[in-house]
Amino acid sequence: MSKSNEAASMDVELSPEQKQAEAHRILLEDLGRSLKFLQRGIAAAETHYIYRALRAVPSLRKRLLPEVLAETISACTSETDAPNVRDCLKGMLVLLKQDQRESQSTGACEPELCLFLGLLSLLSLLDSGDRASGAKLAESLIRVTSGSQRRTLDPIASRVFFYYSRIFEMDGRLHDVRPALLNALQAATLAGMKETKAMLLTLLLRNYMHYKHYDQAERLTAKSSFPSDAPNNLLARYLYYLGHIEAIQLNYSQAQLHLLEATRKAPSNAETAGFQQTVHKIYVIVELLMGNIPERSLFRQPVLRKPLQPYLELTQAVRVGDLNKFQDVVAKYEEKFLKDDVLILIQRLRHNVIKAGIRSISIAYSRISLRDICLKLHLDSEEDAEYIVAKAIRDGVVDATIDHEKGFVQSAEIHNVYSTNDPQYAFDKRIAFCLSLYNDSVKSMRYPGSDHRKELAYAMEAIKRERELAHELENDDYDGDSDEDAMDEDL
Amino acid sequence: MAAQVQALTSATGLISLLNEEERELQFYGLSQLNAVADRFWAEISDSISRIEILYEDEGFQHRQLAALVASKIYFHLGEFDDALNFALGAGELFDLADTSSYVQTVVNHAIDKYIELRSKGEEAEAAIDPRLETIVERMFERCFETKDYAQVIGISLETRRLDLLERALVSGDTRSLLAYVQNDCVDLISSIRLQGQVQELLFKVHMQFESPDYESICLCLSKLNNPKKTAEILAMLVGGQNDDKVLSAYQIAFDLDANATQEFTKAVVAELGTDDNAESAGGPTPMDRIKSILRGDETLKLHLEFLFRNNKTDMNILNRTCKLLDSRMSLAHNAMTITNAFMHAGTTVDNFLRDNLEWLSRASSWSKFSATAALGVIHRGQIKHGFALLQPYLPEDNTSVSPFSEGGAFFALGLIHACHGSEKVINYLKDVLVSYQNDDVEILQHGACLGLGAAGMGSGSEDTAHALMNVLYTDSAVSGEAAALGLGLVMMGSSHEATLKDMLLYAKETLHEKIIRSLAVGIGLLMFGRKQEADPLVESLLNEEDPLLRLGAVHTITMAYCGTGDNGAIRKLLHLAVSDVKDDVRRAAVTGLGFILLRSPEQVPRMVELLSESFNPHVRVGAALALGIACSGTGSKAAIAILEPMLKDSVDFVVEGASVALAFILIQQNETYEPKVGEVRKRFATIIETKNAEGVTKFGAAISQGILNAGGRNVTIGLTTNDGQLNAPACAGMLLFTQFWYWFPLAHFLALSFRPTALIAVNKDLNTPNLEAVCTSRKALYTYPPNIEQPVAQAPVKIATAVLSTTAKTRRTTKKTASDEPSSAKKSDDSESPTKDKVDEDSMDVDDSNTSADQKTQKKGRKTASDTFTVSNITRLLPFQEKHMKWPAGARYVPVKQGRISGVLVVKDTAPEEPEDLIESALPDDPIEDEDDSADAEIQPPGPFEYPFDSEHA
Repeated sequence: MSKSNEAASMDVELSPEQKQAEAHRILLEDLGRSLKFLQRGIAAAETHYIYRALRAVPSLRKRLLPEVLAETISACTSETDAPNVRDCLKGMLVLLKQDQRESQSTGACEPELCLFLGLLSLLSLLDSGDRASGAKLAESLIRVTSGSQRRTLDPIASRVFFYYSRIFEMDGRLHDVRPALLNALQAATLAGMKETKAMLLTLLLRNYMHYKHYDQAERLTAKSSFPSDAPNNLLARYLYYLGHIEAIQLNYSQAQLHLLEATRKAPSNAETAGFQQTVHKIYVIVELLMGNIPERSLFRQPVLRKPLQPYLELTQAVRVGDLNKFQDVVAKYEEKFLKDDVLILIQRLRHNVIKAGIRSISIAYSRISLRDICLKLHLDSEEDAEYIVAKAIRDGVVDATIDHEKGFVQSAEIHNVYSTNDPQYAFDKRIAFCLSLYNDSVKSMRYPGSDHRKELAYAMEAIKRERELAHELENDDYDGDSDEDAMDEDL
Repeated sequence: MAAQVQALTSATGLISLLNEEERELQFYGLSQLNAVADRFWAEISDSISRIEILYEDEGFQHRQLAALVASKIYFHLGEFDDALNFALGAGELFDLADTSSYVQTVVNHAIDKYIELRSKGEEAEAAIDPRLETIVERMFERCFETKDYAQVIGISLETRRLDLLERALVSGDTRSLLAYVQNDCVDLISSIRLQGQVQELLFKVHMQFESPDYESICLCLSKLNNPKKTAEILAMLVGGQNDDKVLSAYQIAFDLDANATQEFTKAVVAELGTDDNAESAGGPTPMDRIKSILRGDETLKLHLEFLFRNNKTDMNILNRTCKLLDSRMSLAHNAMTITNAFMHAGTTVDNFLRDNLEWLSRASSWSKFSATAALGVIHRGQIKHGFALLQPYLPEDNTSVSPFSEGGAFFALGLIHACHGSEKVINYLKDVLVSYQNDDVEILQHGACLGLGAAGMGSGSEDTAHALMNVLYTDSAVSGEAAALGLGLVMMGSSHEATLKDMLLYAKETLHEKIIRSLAVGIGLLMFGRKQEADPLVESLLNEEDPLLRLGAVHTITMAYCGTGDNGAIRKLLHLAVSDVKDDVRRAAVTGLGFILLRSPEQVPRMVELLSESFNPHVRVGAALALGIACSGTGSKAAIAILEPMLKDSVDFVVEGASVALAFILIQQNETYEPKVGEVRKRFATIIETKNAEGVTKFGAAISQGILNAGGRNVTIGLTTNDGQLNAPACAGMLLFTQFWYWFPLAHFLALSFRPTALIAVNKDLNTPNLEAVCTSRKALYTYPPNIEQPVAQAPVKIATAVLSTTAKTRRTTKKTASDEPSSAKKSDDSESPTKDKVDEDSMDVDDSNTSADQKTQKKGRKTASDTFTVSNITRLLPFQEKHMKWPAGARYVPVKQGRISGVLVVKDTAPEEPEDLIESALPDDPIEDEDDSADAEIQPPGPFEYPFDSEHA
């Protein structure tokens, strides 16, 4: 390529090096902006600045460069840092395989900044697949979080914990993090760090469920309270785990409620497709276990159609109450169900195929003898039928009573709900929900102290300008020169 | 072991061990559970009852361990009370030295619990678990080991453990700790009783020194109201023939006069005895001097001297305002009277009255009352000549001819003797209350009651109170109103039960709103500084239906918690400020915030920011006054930023309130120190000039000018004394000033809040020697603001500038034709003219930068040239100047008291043999009698006062 050509191409397109340099520069600036938000947040003790910084993390993650990160880290390091922060920052550089550079920072590095940079370094390591270094870094970050109890630390710390747990999970050492998470949960509870507490609770539940310690998980949820104003994402996750645990512990109606709420709380976009699918899988099974048949439309949703195919088949088997078909489906998709961690629930469905039958029977007959049930459902004995019906009644699948002496099942009258107070209660609940939603949104709105003054000043100026404009329009027959003269005289 | 714990996935096995019969197994289970409690608390918590049973089993050897495990579980469950109880049960096993969050949380909780129990009173104290006490004491011990004495002091005050407080005081750096407790802690204690106990303790610790700090001791004693001990100490100091001690006794006496109540100083004087025999022989003895200081004679004389000498009143402001305000309106007349009074407060200069006799004569009825009372403000502190000065106005032979001016004179008499009422004055005024029987007795009584209140302030004299009570019971609105205020003032801060009961009863009985409202203020004054003691009263008043009684509750909170920054009081006031249905109550509640936070003014702007934008104008004006009161004299930028926009408020009285508040804040400041002052001054002037401005707005602007230039520009608003103690009369004066909303003459009470800002040093003879102190700062920051220029025919010039649009038009057109010519000749001219403009602009820019550069260099030059300057004796020393002040090293005179440089200072002469260079008194009417007459003669001219008498009777 001739020189002139090169010059010409430079005009239109930057060379790869320049592009890189440009990207480098932009990244550095973006990092700097995030850090500024953090500092503002710290100075004003306001978390919403911190959230603004964190909002940039996904976009930063896509174009992270270790050397740029190292540069920023070096710039933040100073002699006056707290010991744990200093160690952490140094560790970051070592793990990123970068050299320490000259530092221009004068003040001590705040733990928030350290954690933010640590979080980015962690993501960079995670993306490069260096999990061993990532684990080390995560551990040092955890130490930083325990050193301070500031509210502004809360959102960052919660994310750090997430990736901490995530790295260990990928390494298959999830049980190693449990004590650390429990300690952190205690600290977060005491310090009132709501988001971190919520995050830790979900992480712990995941941890327990990973090892199938369902009763431990259940106890944890029973003995601790989930922060009421935790972010929705965390709440959705928590509800999912809660629903899952309850499903396993046979508490289907609660499980159904929680799972349904989880699907509603979770934002529905492409990013959360995985979550939606996972929750719906369990949800479908719980619905089936309760004797309900999920809506067909559920399986038609584009995000859910493919992954929920096995569950659709399962549902169809249950709906018709065909045991053979049910067995076929289970055998066919056993691997998949095992992977989804729902096989144990599906095995319980066998009873539900029967229960589905009971349900349709109870709707069809106001009174039926146990013997007839036995025959209709191909059960072994009347006792079996009695047990199964009793269980169905307890689970709220059917509303009926068993007359043990005479051996029949009496379905309760289906009365008109609208003649009771129930609709009112339901309305009341919804209204209360809407009101609290409204109150919460009002509370979370922020009006920076004196902004309206600026607006006022601006409005005044606008009025003034308009008046001037009007004045000028009036005198538009004069040219600028004479206008100025006239004004001079006026003054 | 560790590996084993790691491998554990559930504590079920360990828990089941507890159900075993064998004690050994149970113990093993417990110790294992103790180790894993942090991890499996959720699981263990299900069997907590089992662990509790183990703990309650007396026969179980390791029940303490069971308690520890239970405590840990409860901690994780967030049940800190239970966690604490079981931790107490765990005894030694609960390791205080541990730094885990468990131990820290439980210990914190223990201390909180302990504080709560201790503050509940005797019964709860008896019920305190000794084990709890042990834990708290163990924490105290650790603090002692690490020498964290300040922490011990804080917690011991909270837990009312005076023994520990004493131990901390003795074992640390006692002097600095004593000062810390005295200055920073005592006032924050909300229980008066405990406060007294602490003061006693401080006194005791002070006395243990070899060379006790008698100043602090006497401060303690004055708080304890123990005049006997104080007198003993003073007598001891004076009796020792040691010059240093005598000097320090003088200083103590001066400080007592400034800080203590009238009741206390009088009692001390009485205790000192009446052996005046020595006086005839060779000048006054030190003891006589002490007495005269305690009686306030010396301080008042020095202040008078200072104010007269340095009087820098700008007469132009007064004259201009006088011309602009229409004196036929009583509102405007009052405004002028008050402005003049403030500007000349304490200076004895009444030129303005003498120069404006015609204006004075226009005063009618209550304006006349105000105008005469103003003399009291102007001559405040001239207690020697009080009667002589007012002779022309006081009634003769118990026959009243002009009740308004005579009533005003009684009030003036009180103001002259404010806080220093001698027997003679008090008795004279008391006689007035009963000796007149004509129709206008109300007015005379009104003046006398206010005068009695001012003169007898804080004297707690029951005789006076009784006399005032009798006036109150006549149920006349005018005299009753003043009597109620007088009662409050006389019994101020005493919380005298009988008086309080009578006042409350009468407030509910009478039908006169004026009386109820004044009683509300009076009750507030009665409870001044009583803190928690006032709470039951406040509660009962708050539940009243009558808004005026709720107003009383607000005043009571305001006064009882004045200057304490108490959170409970603030909460109550804020609640009232936004929830009460009566505007008056809301306004008073917001204003009260200023009183409560007057020691931490930086908090107020943030607190009232939203209130200052309230839709309710009463709340807005309250917010303005709160800012003014709390931030008075500070020049707080945040406060000014809130108040400035309020000057443009659409409601007249909000503008008035904002003006007054701004004046409070900017008092004594010049434009170099706070550039906003100039703008504010101009703004006041324009408000007064504006023809169609509301009367109230003008009134506010006028008195604000008065406050801004108060006392010949030599006083500030001093709600605290130079020592930082709360100044009770000043606070009362400020509260009464805010009542000008209802009754203009009450504005005169602001004179009580004026504190001369002076450097006054006296030697052992109580004379003022020539001396200088050094200020290490720029002089320009502290100079007097310049006088305003006489507005010489400004108006005509303005008129000349007005150009009719038609003329402008014709002119423009002629110009246009002129400029058209060259443009037709040359096209390029178009481009030329803009460049010309540009050049012009450029040159202007250059000019600007030049001048600014000049200014900069000037500034620099000034800085280097006059970074320090000297301040001589009896001259103005601004409060914010004090931190830059120091005594020159090796100077002849050395102050007796360290750490303070304003107010009256006793100095020690290090070269007594050399002749002293004394500053001669400049007061025209110094003791000599005949000169006094001439002063009288000078003052007398307001004779025209008498003109309207006839018209009044007619």
